[in-house]
Amino acid sequence: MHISEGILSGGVLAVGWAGTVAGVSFGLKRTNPDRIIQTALISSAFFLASLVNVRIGPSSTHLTLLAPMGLILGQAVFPAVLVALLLQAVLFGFGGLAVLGANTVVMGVPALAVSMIFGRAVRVATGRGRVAVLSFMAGTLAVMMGAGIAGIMLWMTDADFAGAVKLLLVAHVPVAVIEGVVTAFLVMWLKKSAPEFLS
Amino acid sequence: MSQPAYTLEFPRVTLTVSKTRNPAVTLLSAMIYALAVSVSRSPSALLLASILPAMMLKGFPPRYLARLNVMNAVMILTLALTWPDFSDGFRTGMIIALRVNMICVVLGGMLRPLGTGGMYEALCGLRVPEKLRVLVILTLRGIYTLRERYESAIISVRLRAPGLSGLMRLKVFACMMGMILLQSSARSENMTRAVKCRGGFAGFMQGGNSAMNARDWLCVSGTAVYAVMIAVMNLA
Amino acid sequence: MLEADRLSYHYADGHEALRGVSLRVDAGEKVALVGANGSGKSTLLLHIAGAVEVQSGRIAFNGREGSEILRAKVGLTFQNADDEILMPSVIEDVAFSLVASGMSPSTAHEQAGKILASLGISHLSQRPPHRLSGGEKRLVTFAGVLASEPEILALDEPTAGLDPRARRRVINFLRETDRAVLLATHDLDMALDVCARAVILSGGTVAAEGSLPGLFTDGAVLEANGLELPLRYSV
Repeated sequence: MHISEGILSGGVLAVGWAGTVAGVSFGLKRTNPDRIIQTALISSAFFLASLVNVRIGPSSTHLTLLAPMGLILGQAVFPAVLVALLLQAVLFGFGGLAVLGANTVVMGVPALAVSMIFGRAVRVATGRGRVAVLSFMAGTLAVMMGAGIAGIMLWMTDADFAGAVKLLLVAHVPVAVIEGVVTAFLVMWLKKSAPEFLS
Repeated sequence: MSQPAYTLEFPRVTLTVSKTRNPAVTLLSAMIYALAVSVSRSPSALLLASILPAMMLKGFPPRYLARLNVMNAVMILTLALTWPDFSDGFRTGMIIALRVNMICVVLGGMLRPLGTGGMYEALCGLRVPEKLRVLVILTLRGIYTLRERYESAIISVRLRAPGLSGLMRLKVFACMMGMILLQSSARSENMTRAVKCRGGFAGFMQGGNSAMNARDWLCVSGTAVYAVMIAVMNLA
Repeated sequence: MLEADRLSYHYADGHEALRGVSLRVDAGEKVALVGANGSGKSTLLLHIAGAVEVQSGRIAFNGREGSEILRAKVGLTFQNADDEILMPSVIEDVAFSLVASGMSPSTAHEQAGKILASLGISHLSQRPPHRLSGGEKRLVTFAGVLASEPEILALDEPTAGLDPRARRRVINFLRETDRAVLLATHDLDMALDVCARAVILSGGTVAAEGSLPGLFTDGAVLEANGLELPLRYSV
């Protein structure tokens, strides 16, 4: 759901950067220095996980893992997303610089939202079924929210993008389901092996 | 042999620091150019903006451009088919594809030689907040130390469960990730202790030795002037 | 110089890692800390380096207590070098504690360069850490702790995962240094090459203590504490 360079208008890019500055400032303020190292290493684990190409049937996909990032990193997720996207752009040549702010909002807002909506519920949930359902919902919502935000940005750039936006949303439905499943498996694994990790 | 369930697509990265110019200048100039081109729509503005990437095109890996333009072709077709008017959508797609190519060539040419050390220098030079700089360094460090773990885990799965498919594939991926997350967290405890033993977070503040001099400011100003010219062409 | 008196420590999950451990290291002395996995070696080193707060007992350096003094006087290297190499290049990592102490980066880099030269690894100064071999990483961690000029080197398994040549370089470094060394290791042969005295930990307590090589020739004591005769005695 990354938006490429060269698509968004100046106004939307500016809104993206404003949102990123606000989100990152909020996230950094809430992250005490002792947690920075843990945030960095967990971010790097997610970064690498997103580089893993998972074969699904005849094709393959890279997962965004927005929901797990949000559930585990909590309020520190915004800076973590910015850093990951910056490293992708500068070192690996994926994504872009001008659109970095917008992409951070596209990915950071859903991750943070999922953390706020589902974080506590997942932590206190007992019973595998309940944990699985909540995590699945978190995973699918994060992806659809990200696609939605990307769609809004495209639409704000030019209303004629509406058709492409609809296609974007429909195309993300199967991705959302896959991410929901992966989130459910991951959270169930963590609840069993290291429940304190989600707190 | 069947296709592997997972592959880690870790791209090649430049590791050396470019000594030819101030990294902060490079990053800032690249950003200014990307912003200017991103908002350009008129043919004359795009023509002016194409001068810089044209100069950098020689030596740019053709495979990367080819892959980029396959994706652009899909994008152009999508826009053409979903736009209210086919030809308008096609033209919009072409303009976007042109912008994408120009920005990618310039960003690739300017930023990839920065490498890991250069990027950190650039962030210091641009006075990015300390916490964010530390986050960048350690995330980068974590990426390289965990990469082997992921690669080993993927090989292990390939050897132990070659016929993995369907939901099991997703489950195993989630378990692999969970294990590595826990290992990262455990490692971070040791790293935190190491930082405390070695004097604290102040030790990270080593960059920014390359304060911007007159030549650097001239370079940034030159890029800014170029960007303004592109913007003016766009409005004309 | 360094005195630990009846240290006890339990982790958050209740596991008791140290139970009344007492230890002394004199200036210039080289002491091996050996024991089976889980015997408390690493936890003891963390205490000695001031990396964890003392729960029970005391540790003093020349009579002075407190984690600040320990961090200043003890240089700790971790079992996994990747846990403590933090910066994008070797020279920056070696300069880390110098910069943290208030030195300007340029002066710190100069000092770090000298330390790298003393270890014969100047050629690694601009190398990113993930391009280093296991032995090179280990030497870089030594350089990193030497930068803060500690009086005691506390080393956790410094030869773990090293090839024979890299292992020999580590041994030579430890033999040649005039600093006190507290060496936690499974490599009893290395301990014999470097140290004059050894402490055997078992289940978080001091099971045996004595001079080398004597202590390591007692097969019964070693076996009782989950250890085996060094290779040079068992062949």
